[in-house]
Amino acid sequence: MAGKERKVLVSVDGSEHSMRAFDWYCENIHKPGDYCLALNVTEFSMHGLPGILSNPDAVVDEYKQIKQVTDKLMSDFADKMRQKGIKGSADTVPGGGSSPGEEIVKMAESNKVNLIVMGTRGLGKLRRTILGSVSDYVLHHANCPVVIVRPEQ
Amino acid sequence: MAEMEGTQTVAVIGMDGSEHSEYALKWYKENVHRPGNKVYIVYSPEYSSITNPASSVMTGNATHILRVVQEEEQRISALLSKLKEKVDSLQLEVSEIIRINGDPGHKIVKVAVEKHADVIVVGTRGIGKIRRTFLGSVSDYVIHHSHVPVLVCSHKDLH
Repeated sequence: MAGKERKVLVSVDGSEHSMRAFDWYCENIHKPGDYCLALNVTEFSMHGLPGILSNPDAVVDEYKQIKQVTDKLMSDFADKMRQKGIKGSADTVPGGGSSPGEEIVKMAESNKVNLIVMGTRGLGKLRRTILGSVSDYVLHHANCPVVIVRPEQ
Repeated sequence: MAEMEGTQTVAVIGMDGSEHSEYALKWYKENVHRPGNKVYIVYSPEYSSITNPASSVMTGNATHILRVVQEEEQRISALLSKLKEKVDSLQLEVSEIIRINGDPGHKIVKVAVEKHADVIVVGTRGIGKIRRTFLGSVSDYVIHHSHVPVLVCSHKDLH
């Protein structure tokens, strides 16, 4: 790896879990020169299907709200990275047709990242497994090393 | 650069002699390791279950049993030497190579707790003949039971 710029993708979802994962990356893995791609995949739930069909404006509003939150999240992340002197990017990708896991793996592959860093659970209320569905997907499909940062026990 | 003010990281690396675990060791050294880190390798030579001395016990032949056990120990010593060579060639300072028998996932997590590990490093799959999933049963177990971050070293060419 010497001499080659390392690229690390950090999955961000606004939860304290992903913040801890990012902090862990900063303390234990990050080296000056590393390029950190902070990535948020926007998920938005379509609750109340009949309602949607009758009220498209509500859907647009919800989308705008979510976008505001995620944009703020990523700009906060960009600030944090700048403060720590970490070069990189902080982006949001709409998780439209595919799942967040798929988007993360896709981003990792197209950017040829050397490492993916993620927490285990996001904000979602649905906690089916100890290992969140997103980290589970990424672990099974990533072509590069993955660090799973679990919640503090 | 990270300030070295006594922040010493303890890493536990689970290995079984497979290409995957060698890749994990190498990746850890090149990308995570910092001078001063304490590294423990938990080594579980997979083949030991295949040449199980228990099968020889049935013969009731003490000489035979002894010979099988001795051969087994010789084989494992050879594997351990190879591992030490690999560690040296990577110029990695390892505190201890802990050889275990059976139940690697459980033992890796146990050692990590005992040594107050800050990170556990595993490959994705081992030598074992049972390959149910891409993510080996050991790495799967470790991810679900570890109290600390787990680095799973997957490599696209080693699938």
